[in-house]
Amino acid sequence: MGANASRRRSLLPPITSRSLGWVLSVLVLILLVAVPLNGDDYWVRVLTGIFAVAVMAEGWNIIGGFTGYAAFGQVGWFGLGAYTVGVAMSRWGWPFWPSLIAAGLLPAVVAALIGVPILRLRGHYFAIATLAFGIALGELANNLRYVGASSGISLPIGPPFAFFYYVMLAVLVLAVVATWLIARSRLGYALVAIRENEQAAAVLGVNTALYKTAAFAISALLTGLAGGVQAYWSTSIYAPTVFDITRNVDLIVMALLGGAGTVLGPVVGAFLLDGLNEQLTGAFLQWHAVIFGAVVLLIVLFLPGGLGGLVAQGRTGVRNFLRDLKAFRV
Amino acid sequence: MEAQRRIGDPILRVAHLRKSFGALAATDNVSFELREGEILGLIGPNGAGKTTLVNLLTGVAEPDAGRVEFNGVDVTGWAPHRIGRAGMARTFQVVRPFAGMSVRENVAIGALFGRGQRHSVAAARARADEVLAQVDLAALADRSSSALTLQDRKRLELAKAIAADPLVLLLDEVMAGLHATEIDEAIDLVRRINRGGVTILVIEHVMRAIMRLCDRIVVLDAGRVIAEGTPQDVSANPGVIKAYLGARWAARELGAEGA
Repeated sequence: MGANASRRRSLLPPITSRSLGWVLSVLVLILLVAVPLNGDDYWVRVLTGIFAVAVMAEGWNIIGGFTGYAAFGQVGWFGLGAYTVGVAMSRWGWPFWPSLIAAGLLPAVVAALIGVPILRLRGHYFAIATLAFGIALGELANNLRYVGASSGISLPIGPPFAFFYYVMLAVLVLAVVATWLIARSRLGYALVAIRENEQAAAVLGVNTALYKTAAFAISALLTGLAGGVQAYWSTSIYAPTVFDITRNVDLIVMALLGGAGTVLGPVVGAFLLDGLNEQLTGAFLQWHAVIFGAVVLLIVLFLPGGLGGLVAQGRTGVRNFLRDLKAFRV
Repeated sequence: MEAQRRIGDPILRVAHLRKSFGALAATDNVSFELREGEILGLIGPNGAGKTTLVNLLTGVAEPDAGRVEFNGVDVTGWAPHRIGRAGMARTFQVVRPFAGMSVRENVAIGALFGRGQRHSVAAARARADEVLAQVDLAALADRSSSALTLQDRKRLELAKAIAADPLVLLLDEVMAGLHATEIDEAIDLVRRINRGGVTILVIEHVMRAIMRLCDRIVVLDAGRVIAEGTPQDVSANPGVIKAYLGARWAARELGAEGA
């Protein structure tokens, strides 16, 4: 039965791989906590950036991976969080911590409000609506004089890099723990049921509108927090950088690579792809985008179901890749 | 809040229900009652409007006119999840397992969100195991639900609905595609569920099963109720034979002679 159980994709993986996952996660976490101690600023900077992307991928995972709604506007929540911290600290003179809390809450509230109408859409229509909303937020930030329009916002100079490293790492840990809790709760069961068959879930009593909206809001909250930390870390923010729409696709590729709908998959995917991108940029300044694109293509073609799927059931091949695309309605 | 229910009282009252798709009246002024404790059959030729009717009763589609009263409450136009939670469960003609979940997790959804509303996942999984034992799927609890045979998928569809602890269960062709022994097992299973206190409306093309299983039968044709009564009454009704049984039996007789 153990062998059988390990060959399925499930909310709750078998005990052995579960405890192995925990041991590995804790080891990696200890290593990450130790990085700034040897005073290497390069790695501190690179890893802080990767943590931010990993939070975004994990945020997408809740609405995209668990619920099956391919949101293409994740960067909108990141930018909204960044601008919340920017405005709160530089315009209103708030301290960082309350500003950061607002950077989580505001995207969550906005997501809950727009979620009610747009979560009625499915498939491509939902993807387009979220993409458009994210772009609209960016345009708004780029044109609204109150938030600095095209000259952006300058924030007070912050503490040393290590501070942001630890805060971003804490947000990432929060995102992973939140996802882990969701995966084994009523909410997680409801989300996966919605992903697999929304109507069948509804007739069994699942309040689909409520749970989808909750997933969308939690997804926005986590992503907004990452944006908030990013804003203070960068000390100056511009709409085109914090609302960089090309990132929407990167996040989804990362989540699919690591395993959408799993707890750690999107984080692993973000570390691999963003880390790879960073190394390629250093080694081949001219060609890195082409090489990166080719690597992404190969990974997506030959690792459908992500690394998580590979570990769990050894599913590879084009047929499964197409199945996964359909399953996550990308 | 729940009304006092007695065997034989109407638990589901359908009055003048109407639903059109363009010019086609899929459900045309349909009225009938489902009585506490019974097994009511709903039959009719293909396209008679049986599945549309189930969709209207469970909130999956909204009626253009008419009224659905369930357990003393007017539930017309309610969202599917509210009707489900009130105690009306259904199966789908084309089964809809939650593919990314194990068999147990599929059934736990019914236990978590249906009328019984268990709040802890552990309690829901325990209830799922009980139901899986009841439908002979216990051995497959940890399997992926997408790796089941048709018979097992039909059982899973039933198990999900039962785990919701419904008052009324609407079965949309749970026996279609099964062979004779499997149909006998399915009939036993539906009887057992009924004896457990669940009122059942069963849509079925397998006439042998309908005749053996049902206390009463409602016959639909072209969106209308054309007959209602005991299996004996209905099978002797000239209008029914003409609309439904007649065509089939005639075809079968001809086929037998030809061979």
